[in-house]
Amino acid sequence: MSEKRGREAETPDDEYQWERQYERSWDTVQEDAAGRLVVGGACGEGSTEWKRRASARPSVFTPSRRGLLRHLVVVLDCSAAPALARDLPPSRLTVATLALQAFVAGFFAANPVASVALVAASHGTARTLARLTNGPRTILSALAEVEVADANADAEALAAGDSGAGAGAGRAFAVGGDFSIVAAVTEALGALDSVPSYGKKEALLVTGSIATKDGSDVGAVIRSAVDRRMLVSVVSLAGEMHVCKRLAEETSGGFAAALHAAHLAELLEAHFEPPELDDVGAAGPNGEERVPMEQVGFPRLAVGEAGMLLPEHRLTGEGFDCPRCKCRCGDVPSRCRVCGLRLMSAAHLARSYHHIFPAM
Amino acid sequence: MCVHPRVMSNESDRERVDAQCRSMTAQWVRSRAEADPSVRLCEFFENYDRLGTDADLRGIYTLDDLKAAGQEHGWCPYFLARHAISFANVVVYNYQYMLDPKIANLVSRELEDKSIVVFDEAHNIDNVCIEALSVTLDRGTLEGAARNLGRLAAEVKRLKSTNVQRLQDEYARLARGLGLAAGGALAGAHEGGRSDAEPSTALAAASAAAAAAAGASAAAAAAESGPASDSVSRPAQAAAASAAGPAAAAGGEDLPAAPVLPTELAEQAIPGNIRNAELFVRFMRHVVRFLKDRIKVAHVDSETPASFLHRMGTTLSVDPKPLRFAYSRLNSLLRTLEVTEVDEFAPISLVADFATLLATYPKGFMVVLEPFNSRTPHIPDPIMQLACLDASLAVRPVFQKFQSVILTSGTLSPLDMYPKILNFHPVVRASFEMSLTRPCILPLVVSRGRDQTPLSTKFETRDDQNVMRNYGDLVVQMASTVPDGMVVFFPSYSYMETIITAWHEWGVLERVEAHKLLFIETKDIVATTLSLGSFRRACDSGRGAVFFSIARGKVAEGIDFDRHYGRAVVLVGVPFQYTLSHVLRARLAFMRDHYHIREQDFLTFDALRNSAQCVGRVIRSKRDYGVMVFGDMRYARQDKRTKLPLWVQQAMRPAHLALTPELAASVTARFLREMAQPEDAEAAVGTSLLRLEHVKSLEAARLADEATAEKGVAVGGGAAGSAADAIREALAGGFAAEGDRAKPGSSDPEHAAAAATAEAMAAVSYPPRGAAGATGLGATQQSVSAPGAFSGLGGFLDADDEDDEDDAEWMHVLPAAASSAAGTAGVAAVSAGASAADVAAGEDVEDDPGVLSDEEALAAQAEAEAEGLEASSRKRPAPEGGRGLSAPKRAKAAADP
Repeated sequence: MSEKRGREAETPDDEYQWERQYERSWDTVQEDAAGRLVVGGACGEGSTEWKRRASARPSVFTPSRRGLLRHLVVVLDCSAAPALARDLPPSRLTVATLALQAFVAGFFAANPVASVALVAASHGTARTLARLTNGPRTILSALAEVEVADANADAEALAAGDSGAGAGAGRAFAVGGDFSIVAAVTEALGALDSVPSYGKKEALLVTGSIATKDGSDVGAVIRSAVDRRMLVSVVSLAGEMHVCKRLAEETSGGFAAALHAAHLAELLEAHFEPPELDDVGAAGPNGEERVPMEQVGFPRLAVGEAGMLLPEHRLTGEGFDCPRCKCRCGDVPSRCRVCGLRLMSAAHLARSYHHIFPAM
Repeated sequence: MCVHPRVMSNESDRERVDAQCRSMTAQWVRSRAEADPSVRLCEFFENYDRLGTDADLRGIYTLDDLKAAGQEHGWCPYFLARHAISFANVVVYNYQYMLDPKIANLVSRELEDKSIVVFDEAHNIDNVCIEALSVTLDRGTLEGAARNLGRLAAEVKRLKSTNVQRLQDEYARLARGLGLAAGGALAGAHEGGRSDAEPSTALAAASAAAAAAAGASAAAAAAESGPASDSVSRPAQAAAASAAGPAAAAGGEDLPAAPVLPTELAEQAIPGNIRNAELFVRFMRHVVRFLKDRIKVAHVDSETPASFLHRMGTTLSVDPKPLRFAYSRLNSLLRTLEVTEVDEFAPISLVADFATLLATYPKGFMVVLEPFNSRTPHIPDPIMQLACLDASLAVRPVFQKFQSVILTSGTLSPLDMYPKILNFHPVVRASFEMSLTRPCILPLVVSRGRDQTPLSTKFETRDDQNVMRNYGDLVVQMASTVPDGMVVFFPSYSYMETIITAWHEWGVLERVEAHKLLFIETKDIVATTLSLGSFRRACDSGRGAVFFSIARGKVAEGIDFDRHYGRAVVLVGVPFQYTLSHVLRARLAFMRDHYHIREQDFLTFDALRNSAQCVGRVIRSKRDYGVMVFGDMRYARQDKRTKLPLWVQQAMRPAHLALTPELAASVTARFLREMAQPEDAEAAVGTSLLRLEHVKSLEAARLADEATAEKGVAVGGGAAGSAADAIREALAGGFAAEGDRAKPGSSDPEHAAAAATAEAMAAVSYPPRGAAGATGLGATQQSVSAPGAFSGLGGFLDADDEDDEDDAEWMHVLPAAASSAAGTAGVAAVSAGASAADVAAGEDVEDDPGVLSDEEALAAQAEAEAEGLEASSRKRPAPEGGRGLSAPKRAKAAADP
């Protein structure tokens, strides 16, 4: 396929070149010896896209351990380079932000008991825009913030390298400046600091820069990510950058480069499926399985009473009561603000199971 | 290469190391040591001399291996290697060992005629040939020469008072004829039969014992004659040592042979007027004085050797004829005087070299006098160059001696130019495409700037601010698009300095630095090495870096920018040579008159081979990818474009022939994203990976071709992509010739030389590990001072190591470019007599019978090689029955069990 792209990718719209083979797809339907209709020719044979999708799904289900309690930090590169690069219209950053919005929604649908945080890297630093949360709402609003910052960014100022407002910690978030992979990974590690040992730590770095400017050794930060068992996957919009690939490979994440917006969405979707567990729950030194136990509460829905102030300072008419401490919280899945018990509904748990027992 | 601790304490000074070596290993020093135990000898050499010559060297030795072996056994690795050349199956070394007559006569003389010579990376062979025969003198050298002569005179005087006998011996010897005093250049092993019959050889017998005489005349057995001569009485030995070059070789480090080619060396007695040592010194004094006078020129001057000699003759009122013998006579004198610090006599040697060449070759040379050194164009520092104009001179003996000569390189185009400039008739020539699974190179021609200014570095426009600004724009655009490493090549230092100054003023550099760190090649080799190291670190850390380099510099020729170290290369302009150089002009005129090559044609050819070399820096393996930006509108022209190597032309699309920097950047961005996609391993099957059935079908096709090809086609030459491959192929007896490509009778069957290019693909099968790969080549192999060649070979094996876990059982077909040794040209010679039986079979032979493992393939091949060799040495006459192995993949077929 890449060869085909190389040869024919002249006009901007041929990013969907592969679709062309579906034109007149009825021509390819033929009758075989047994009289059955088979799809031959272009559709079956030449379509690498189709083949790729087909091969992505394993034909044989192999049992594996997968962590359902995922803790994912999405790191978005908001430096000047992706904001200025127009090769993916309107800009790499905009495309990435839009794709991430779709991704977050889909991710929570596929992994209801997972938690996600958002880190934005710009101006040589990185800051957590949304802490680990169990619902898409905070993440989406943080992504909207990025969108606004992207729209407000002055192309001239970005190009001039003017760091302008927003570099300081206290100020509003602003797009621009340099990308620093050290800052991004460090911040992601910080955001995942509270994750208990059984939780799978993951980071998804969406970058559009061709370089990283770091104050310290990249190797050291990669080692610390490995040491703290954080899996970093990188999706790049700017082709392959050596250090990103190295980061992904050493932390046993995946590196992928997006060709276009649709491809980016597809690459992100690949992260819906939880990674296989290799370290957590492995056999201990004495042979016993060290499967960590986690208490889970299934709260009751409490409706009807008058407005009630939740621990997170929100007034609501309905909520869930923690089965242990009876404290009320607004959403499940979440953690009880008082006793720290993990709260979820049985439906959430059931919906997560499809990763372990896929519908065949 | 020395392992002696005391010598290596001043490792950095090569000349010093040589001299110290000589001071401990020379014949007379050793004989003196017998009488006087306080004389220090090199224990490594002594050990080697006692035991090392019978050493059973098997397997492959790289330079480091040799050193380690030397340390372990206490043998001198240098002499061990020199000794091993005579029986090694494969020898890899620098061009100079084959082409520079001074060195070749010492080192490569003993190679058999049936050896196959492969010049890898042969695109610059003509320049090496020319350098081998050119001499440059400056005022410092001449002053030094005068001082040397003073010292020589003193030495002669001293010797005269202490040991007249020795001088008289020398005189008597010289009176008899030139003999072997020329350092053995003449009575080489390749003419061994004749040299025995020559009266001149007998002279050693006159003054020396029979044993020494045997050592002197039996040049081939020289290495073994060392112990024999130990028993000879001292004066006789001294005479043998000084008279017989080969015997001196047995003693230790010998002096370089005469700088002229064996065929040109006059086989006559040294003229009477320089036979006497004192007279010779006086004669040389006159010569030096004349040169000192002559070098004082106010303006550039050039002269043919004939007129130069005539002027010298009339000024000095001497006959210039003795000049021809200056070098041999000097060496003889140095030996007689038992001088060990030869490095101190370098200036006078250079002058003698100059004089000898000048007087020997009336044609093909030019004396060019320039009042200013190119480095300091304002301070008068006159230099006198004896420039060789005819590249075919140095390479001719190689073509004449060896039966098969193969020229191969990834950038050997256009093909018809090389036979012309080297003056030979190719038997087979072939140019191959790259068979890659994906289009991993992207050549772009940027012909116009953003404002439609034509981009070009031609003389009229190169200093135009608009052009420079647009070049800056191009570099900024590329730097902001390409991740990690990037290289920019400028046509010359002066232009780079001009343009960088301008860019600095305009803030272009600042914009580049926003994306990448900046490193610049300088004339200082240490600084350049440092900046290269930092460049690599910047690429590794993700900061990204751009390297500004010179298209004709060391970096362009020798340094690889593979993988993320070079994702893009930008050529600023066409790297034409400095056409106002008088040497170049003389050479152009010479080629026009003698080889009918138009000046413009040669210049274009030369510029484009340099361009190809530059852009080839970024792609070093089939998994690599890179963008090649040709930043000059002239590249888009038909005459230039078609002179690029086929694999570049093949990838160059019409739409990419006239781009602006912005367009180029956007095409690049897309290309980079595509190349970052994971590779489809299956897609490679059949193109760059061969399964057993592919190999079998290719073998069948080859056999069919062979059947149709007429028998007895006079051929000796292989088409192959890499030295390793060519060696193996040649060993297998597969002297490439397809019936239709061979030109029967077009060459002298005795010395058929074939030029072949491997523009692209050649089949190389190799075991997964680099080391095992080297072993798999089979047979004893010695590398002589060619770390580059070997590390290059190892490097390319290593380069693909990463993907070997999954496809270790596949046959690999690599791009030729990948196999090219890192800048160091490798010359491989194969001596046909030795058997290839001692192949170390690879360890991890695959059990799967269905798939041919590399080790098995190699083992099978090695057997075939052994058979082929025996067959060829036993029954086949000189013209080998051509076996068609023209297509690169077919070469692989030879490995089929």
